[in-house]
Amino acid sequence: MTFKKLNWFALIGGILLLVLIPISIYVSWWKLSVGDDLLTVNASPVNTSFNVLGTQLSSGIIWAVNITSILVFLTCGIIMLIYSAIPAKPYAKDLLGYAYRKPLYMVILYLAGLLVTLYAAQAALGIGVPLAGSSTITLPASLSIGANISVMVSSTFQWPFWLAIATAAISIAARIYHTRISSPKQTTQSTSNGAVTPTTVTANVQK
Amino acid sequence: MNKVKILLTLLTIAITVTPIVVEVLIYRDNLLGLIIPPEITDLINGDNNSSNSIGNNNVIDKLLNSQFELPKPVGDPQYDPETRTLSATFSFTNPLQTPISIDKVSSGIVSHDDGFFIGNLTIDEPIRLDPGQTADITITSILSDDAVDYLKDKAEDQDSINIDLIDLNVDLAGIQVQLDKQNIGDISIPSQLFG
Repeated sequence: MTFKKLNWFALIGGILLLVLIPISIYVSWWKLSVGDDLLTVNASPVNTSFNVLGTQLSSGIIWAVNITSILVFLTCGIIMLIYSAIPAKPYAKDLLGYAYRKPLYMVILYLAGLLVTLYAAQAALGIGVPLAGSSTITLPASLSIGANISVMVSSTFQWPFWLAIATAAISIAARIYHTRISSPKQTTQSTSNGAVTPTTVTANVQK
Repeated sequence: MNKVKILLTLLTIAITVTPIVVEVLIYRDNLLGLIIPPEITDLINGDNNSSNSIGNNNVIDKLLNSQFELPKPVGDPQYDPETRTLSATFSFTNPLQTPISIDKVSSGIVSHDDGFFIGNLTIDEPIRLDPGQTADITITSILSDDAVDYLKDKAEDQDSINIDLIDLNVDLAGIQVQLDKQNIGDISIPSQLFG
C-alpha cells in the first residue's frame, strides 16, 4: 500500500464518522431550552434526551433510533476507513457505496424529524417553537388555566451538527475522488449473446 | 450481486431492525411505553407509585402527590409608619430538581369588598432557590395616606381585610405569568398602623 493509493477524503471522512459518535453523545446537535432550563431537549441522532423540571424522560423508540444511528455511524466509519486503504480493490466501490451516502441521509433524516416534530407541536398544541433562535411563546388558553403565561424559548444548532454536515460533504467528496484514483478503469462491453462483461482497459489504450 | 454487496445489505438490515425488535420485545406487554415515556404515562394515569420514577424526589410524583405548595404566610404583615411601608413575608419551597429564580413579582392591591386601591406590591430583590431549598420571600408596598386612613377605618370593626391582587405579574424561572385578578383571602391589618 502506498500513500498515493489512499483515498484521503475517505480516510478523513471515516475518522470523522467515528469521532462524531462520542462527540454527539455528549454534545447534542440541537438544543431547546424553555424558561430557565425548566424544559430542555438535547437532540442528536445518537442521543436524544428530554429534561422536564429536572427529571430525565426517556422513550424506548427514541433509544432504538439512537442505537441504530450509532451502529450506522460506526459501520460507515469502519467501512470507510477500510475502503480508504484499498480504493483500487474490485470490491472497494461496494464498500464506498455502502458508506458514503449514509452520513448525508442521517443529516437529512435528522433535520426532517426535527421539522416534523416542531410542526406537530405547532399543529397539536398551538405552540410555535423556533428551529433556531429565540422567541417568546404564549401558552394557549386551554393550557394556561385562566392566566396569561408566556415563556422564553430558545433553540440552537450546536457545533457537532455542522461537523456532521462537513463529514457528509467529505464522504461525498470521497466518492467523487474515487473516480479519479480508481485504476485500472473499467468499461462494459456487450458480447454477441447480449451479456454484459467488464473489460479492463488502460488509459493509454483509451487514447 | 456479489458477496460483499450482499453482506453489506444484510448488515444494513441488521443494524436497522435489531434495536427496534429488541425494544419491541422489552415493551411487548406495554407497547404504548415504547413511544410515550413511562413518566408521562404515570402522570396521565395518576399512578403515584411508579417503579419507573427516577429517585424519591421525582417532581412528577411530587406534583401528583400535591406536594407542590403555594407560598405560606410567615407571621402577620408588618407596617413601618416612618417609611409607610407594608411588608408581608411568605415561605416557599422549591419542589423541583432544578434551581428556580423569582425575578419579579408586581401587583396592585385592592380591597375585595369595595375595590379600594390600597397600593402596589413588589419584591425587594430577585430570589434564587436551589432544589428543595426553602426561602422567605418578602413583598413590600408603600401605602398612601388615603390607604392608611382606609385601613384604619376598616380596623375599627374588623382585624383583617379581604384583598385582591390586580394585574399580577410574576417572572418565575423564565416564565411570565400575568393574572388580571386573584383573590388571596383575609390579611390581618397590622397593629402598627395605630402607632
